Parts: sequence; C-alpha cells; structure tokens
Amino acid sequence: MSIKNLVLSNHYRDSVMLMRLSQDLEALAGIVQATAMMGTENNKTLMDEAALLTDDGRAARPNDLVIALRLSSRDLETSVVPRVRELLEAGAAPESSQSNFTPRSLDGAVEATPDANLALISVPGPYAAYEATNALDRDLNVLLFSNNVSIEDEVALKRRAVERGLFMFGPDCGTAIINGVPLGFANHVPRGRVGLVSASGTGLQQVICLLAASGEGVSQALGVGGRDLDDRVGGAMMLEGIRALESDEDTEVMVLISKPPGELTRGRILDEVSNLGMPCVVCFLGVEDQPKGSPGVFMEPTLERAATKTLALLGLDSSDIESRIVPSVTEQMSKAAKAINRESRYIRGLYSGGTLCHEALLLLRHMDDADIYSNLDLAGVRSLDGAALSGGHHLIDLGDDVFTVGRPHPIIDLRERCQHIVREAANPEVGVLLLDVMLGYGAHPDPASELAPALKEARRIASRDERSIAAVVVLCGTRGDPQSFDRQREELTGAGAIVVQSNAQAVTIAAAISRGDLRLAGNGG
Amino acid sequence: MTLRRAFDVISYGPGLRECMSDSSYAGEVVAVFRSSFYVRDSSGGLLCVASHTLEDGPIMLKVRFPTPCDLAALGVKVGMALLWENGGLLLGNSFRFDMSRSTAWVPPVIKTMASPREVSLRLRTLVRRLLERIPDAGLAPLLPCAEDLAYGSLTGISCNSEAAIHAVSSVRRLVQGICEGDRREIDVAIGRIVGLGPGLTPSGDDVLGGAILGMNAVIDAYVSEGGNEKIVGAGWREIVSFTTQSIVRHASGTTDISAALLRHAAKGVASAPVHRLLLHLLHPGCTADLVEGALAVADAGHTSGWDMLAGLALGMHLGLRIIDEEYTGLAGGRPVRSGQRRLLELETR
Repeated sequence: MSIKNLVLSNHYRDSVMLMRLSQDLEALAGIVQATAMMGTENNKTLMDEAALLTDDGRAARPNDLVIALRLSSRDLETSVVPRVRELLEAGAAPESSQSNFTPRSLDGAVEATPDANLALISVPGPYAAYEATNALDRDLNVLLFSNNVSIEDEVALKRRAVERGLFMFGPDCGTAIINGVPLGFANHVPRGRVGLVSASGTGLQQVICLLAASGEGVSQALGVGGRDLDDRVGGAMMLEGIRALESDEDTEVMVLISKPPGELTRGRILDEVSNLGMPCVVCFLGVEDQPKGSPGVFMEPTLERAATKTLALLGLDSSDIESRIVPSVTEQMSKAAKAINRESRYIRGLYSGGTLCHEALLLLRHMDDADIYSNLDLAGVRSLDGAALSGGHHLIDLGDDVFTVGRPHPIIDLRERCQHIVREAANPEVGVLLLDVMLGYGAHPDPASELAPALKEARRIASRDERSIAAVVVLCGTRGDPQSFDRQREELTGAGAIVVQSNAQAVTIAAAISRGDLRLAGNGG
Repeated sequence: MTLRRAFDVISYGPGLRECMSDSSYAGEVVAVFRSSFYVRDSSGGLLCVASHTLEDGPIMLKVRFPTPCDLAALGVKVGMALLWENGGLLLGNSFRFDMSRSTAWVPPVIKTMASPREVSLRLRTLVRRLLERIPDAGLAPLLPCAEDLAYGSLTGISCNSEAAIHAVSSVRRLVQGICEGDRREIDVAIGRIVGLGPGLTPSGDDVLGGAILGMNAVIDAYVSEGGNEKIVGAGWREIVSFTTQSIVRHASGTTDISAALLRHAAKGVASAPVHRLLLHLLHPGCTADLVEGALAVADAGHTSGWDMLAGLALGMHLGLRIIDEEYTGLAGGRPVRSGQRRLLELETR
C-alpha cells in the first residue's frame, strides 16, 4: 500500500465534479481509495485520521484541491498521476465545448429543443416527481427512468397525465420503443406489427428479442413502470397504452406484460382488452386462467410462451424458440449434469432483470422441491434476509434498490455480479450459476468481457476444490444490438457457459442440471 | 478599436454593492463554470457573475447571457480582468456588462411569524417528507437529527458520511455553547466545523451558514411580531453576535468562495431559494409547498444545498427553543433543560 497526494493550487471545481472524480478514481485499477477535498485544516484532519495525508497534502491551503489516493502498490505512484490529470481534464472538457451542450434543467432542455414532445427524466428519485410534474405541466409526455419515487407521487403524476391527455411512463420505466426510437434500455428490433404495453422492462426486452429472432418487429413498445398494475395505481398507463395501440394502424397484435397485477387492476385490464379489434396476448407472469367470454385474449404464463403465441397469431413459424434446446446445448447440459456432485447442486440465480428473476422463481418453484430463497417477495419463496441459508437455491434480483443505491444498474455495471459469481463458486453447495445478460442500447457495451473472466475464475475455484460448477446464461438481445450478439455468445460459451435466448429455457436447463434429470428439459434426455 | 460584446445585467446582490463602493474596482476571474464565473478582487472579495437563469444570491451578478449558456465557449477564461468603468463592468477586452437596466436584489424581511408551535410542526413535517431523499454524504445526515441536536438530546448518528460523524460532536458543543452562553465552547466548535467536508463550499460551512440564518430568522421574526424582547433581548443578541463574529473570524480557514458566502450569511443574506423557504416556514399564512421549496435549496452542488437545509433546520429549532417558554407545552415537546434555563437567566440578568 502507498499513499499519494496531489495538490492543485487555487483549483476550483464544482462539488458534483469533485464527487464524480473520487468515484472515477476509485474505479481505476490499483486505486484502493480516493478522495478529493479542498485543503482546509478540518479536511486535512479528516484525511489524516483516515491515513490518507502526506506532507504534500499537509502543506495545502484552503483554496487548494487535495486529491488523496491509497494505491495498492508504490510502483503505481508515477503512472497514476497522468491518469488523474486526464480525468480532471475530461471533467472540464464538456464545460468548454458548445457542441457537447447538455441542458442542466428542464427549462434549458425545452429551450434547446422546443419541438420535443417527450421528456426522458433520469434524475435521483428525490427530484423525480418534481421534474416530472414540471414536464407534464409543459404538455410533455414523460418517460421517468428514475426509481425511488413514492407510490403516492406516482399516482398523482399519472392522474395529472391522464387529465392532460399525456403519457406518464414510469417511474422506474427502463424500456420503451416509440415510433422506432429506443429509449432507456432497449434492443435494436425491426419495425413490425406487434404493439406492446409492459410494466416490466426486462420482460418487454425478452419478448421483443424473441420476436426479432423469428423476424417479427415492433410497432410501439410502451413501458409503464413496474408498479402501474398495483391496485393503488390501477393500471392507469397500461389502460392509456391499450387505447393508444387499439387505434394504431401498424399494430395487428397487442401484447401486455407484467408481474402478477393487483386483483382489481387485473379485472379492469382484462375488461378493457375483451373487445379489442385485434388479438391480445397477455403475460401476467404465472397467470394462466383464460378470461371467460374473451376469445381474442390469450393468457400466457411465461414470456417465451407470450412470444410464441404472438408469432402464431401472426402466422409465423416459432420453431426457433420452440425447438427448446439445440443439440450442442444438449451435449453441454448432459456433461454438466454428470459433472456436478449431488451435494453441490444448488442454483445461484444472479439476475439484473427483476421480471426475469421473478419468472425464474415461478418456474423453479414448479420444477424443484428444494427450498428457494430470494430478495423478491413471492409466495412459496423464502426471504434471503436473516434466514438459514444452507440447502437451497438462491435467486437474487441485483437490480433491486438495495443494490443500486449510489451505483449504476447491474445492466450497466457488472462489478457486483462478477463479485457474486466468484464468491458463490467457493460455496461447496453451489453447482449451477444462472445469469441474464441484457444487450441493447444503454446496456454495458461489452458484458461478456467482464462476465467471461468471472465465469472462468468460478470454474477454476470449483475445480481447485474438486467440484464442478455449471453456468447457464440467458442472452437477451438481437443481432442488431451494438454489443454484437454473436461475439457475446461466443465469449460466454468460451468461458464454459450454456447460452440460450429464452429465460424459461435457461431456468429449465439450470433445474435439469441441478437435479441431474435431463428429462426436465424436454428433449434433453 | 476593440469591439466588445455587451450584455445586460439583470440584478445584483448586496456583495456587488460592497465591492463597487470603491470606484476603482478591479478583480480577476478565478474560476469558470458553464453558467457562472467567480471574480476575486485585491481585498479578497468575491463576485459570482452568472447566467440570468440562476437564482439571486448575495454575491451574484446576474447577466443575460445567451442560452444555452456556455461561458468557456463564449471566451471567458481564468485570469481575465474585471474592471469598473462608466457605470458598467468590462471583462478582458471582449465583454461589457451594462448595469443601466439592473436592479438590486434584496432578500425579503420576515416581519410576521406563525406561532412557534406551528413553525415547529412545519419543520418536523418538512423533514419527515424529505427523509427518503436525504443523501448519505457531506453533513446532510444531520438534517433528520437537527431537532435532537438543537435540544441536546441526540444520542448518536447512523450514516456512512465520515464528515457527518466527525461533525456531530462539534455541532453538539456549538449548541451547548450557545444555550449556556459559553463563548469558548462556541469558538472551539465553530473552528472545528468551518471548512469541514466535501465540496467547493465545504459542508461544515453550509451548515454553519444555514444555522446562523435559521436562528436569526426565527428570533427576528419573533421580535418583529411583538415577541418578548426582554426575554430574548440583550443576552441573546450578545451570544448571537458573538457566534456570528466567531464564524466571520474562522472564515479564513475555508475556501475564498465559501468564506464570502459565510460572511454574507452572518449578515443574514443567502441565496433566494433559502429566503423563500424561510419565508414559507415562518409566515403565518403559508400555503406553499415546503418540499418544493426545500428541494430548490437542496439543488445546489452535490450536497451543499442539503447541508444548508441541515443548518437551517438546526438554527430554526435552536431559535424556537430559545424564544418560546411555552414550547415545552407542545405535544411531544421537550423538557426545559438546564442549558435553556441558564440561557433565560443569562438574558434576564
């Protein structure tokens, strides 16, 4: 370990920049801890108490900026300084570049783009309702990416939007494709005949990617936020979305996606779609009961089945999805099932998509009688908090607020997941890792580059302990996505993972390997 | 001949009047941000020349720059000279700021006050509604504890901010010093808070600025309303004056920008959103959305605004504790503590 202080004399940077600088520095290899503070006596005392102060820092004056670094090795002292200066300059660059103008307020954004009719708001939760209200009051539709917004605020915002004839997508709306424009986390899919309204971002991505794999595209994909179908919100925006798609000339089949809705809201939504002028596929995860007197409504319990039903309604071949498991995967699965010990058979599902995790829990609950633990709340699933955690499958939604406070979503930032993978590999009970990898706009630019080394390390750890660990990955993306679908699959497969496109298939394969019963996977026996 | 781009000055704060009292004013640009730049004069005085889209404040000179505003792209650079000439300001060789249509911004004076009970309830409600939004950084974690801190009943603080953990004992000493009239305690505590924490205006300064503003606002409004000047009179004025002077004395221990803002806070002047929030919290007929007002204050820097809110809440509770003998009758109110009694004794001596 080594401590290095950089003192920048009379150096004024705004507070937000100083905070970001500390974070960016801590992300650099070899920097264990970083702080950037003005050189006041009290701050020097703070840094001294944290053993972060050197003589250079001690000599700083109140108007000097002190950047204090704890390095993993003294050898890094020379190389790290130019990098710090680069980051400082990078932080300054946008301030002097007119072409990179980024509005800092809604007023500025409206002034810069007076013809805009939608505001995409992604600010910390505390400010989100305020900004969204302002946007609605300016007659802008809103896509609210922010989470940590109270349900009371959500209800008020959606009521306001309905009164003004506007859409209020979100809060916590991660995905939408409107008039062919992807917003938030979205995949590159062709324009097509399917209109979707979804209270689940990753659920929406899963369905449109499966449709795209069979050549079908999207007319509109409207994300309404994960709580829209809570009875307190009453499906306010899903109802608006249904009405909008019903009159959309490009839409031939409508698809609705959500985790199980509130009872009242479910009834209201199904009433709304019972007499549409087009077929409607409804995937309220786990709900299969067909509503009476609604021949055009098709309830499908999984995302994969929603996609295959939609393709069938459009007269398209869905065999690419329905073929279940290709021979190469069957071979991998068979080998993996033989290699793992029965004592170390349990699954660790490390999901970035909450809906995919929820779907996995529902499927696994039916396939295996082992205890299942999760941070998601679902009947028959035990809580991960404070429970006796041995002897069961664990499925974690790493996109949960607990994991995302102060750090980016796991679709963007894979560090937490990579740490989990390596940690779980050392657990003698664990035999199968189950992951989702979300591709598309807004997602990590090259997730396999981080996950593949972690998966290889997991295999090395298990092998060292004379065990075997399998990895099953649902790769949710399309060949048009910026990350290159084929290269991602290749790298993950190269790291020993079994890679499929459907979450339901991935869960089935993971369960089959875990139980050593390949019949679970249909044609796998 | 040099052609200068001319921009209209819209408004200016009291800081400009002080700087410009000398007709030979000359300053130098020391920092340039996208929508504002800071100028320091030879005596260390600071001005913030800013886009008209920003809020008024004590050292602000608001100029109608083109929007979207990008001052670096416009050609404003560190080291440029700002000079006073013929009723206007010249920046380097390129810009002239025309003062002829400008107005002086003056913060509102609060002359009426809701009952101490009502003000206290508003503060509690506001803090409760902000709870989930308060960042765990800087001294913002003191905001939920402000009332307990003001009554000396805080047992501990749970947060990840080292600065906040570090500051709690000093804030306690400051409160105790004020309530017991112990000048040494006040001075030591302020010395340990000034310049503490992250940011260009370190969090400790924002808390102190907020505290002195909040405390003064409550007392002044109370006395304007006909409150018992005898009780809160001489003794209180003496202590608050000492506290204010101590802050001014210690201001040299922080950044120039922060020191300038602290000195103005000591005179009762802060940014416009702070004064709006104080007005809404104190005015008897307030129907404004307090959360909206507080978020406007919070929207400064990374945690500066939240630090200021923590200070405001602390200062206002402290002011309420001092003025209202009947305060102990409040539902959920606090017993009169020895420090409070001693303050009252001090003031009636």
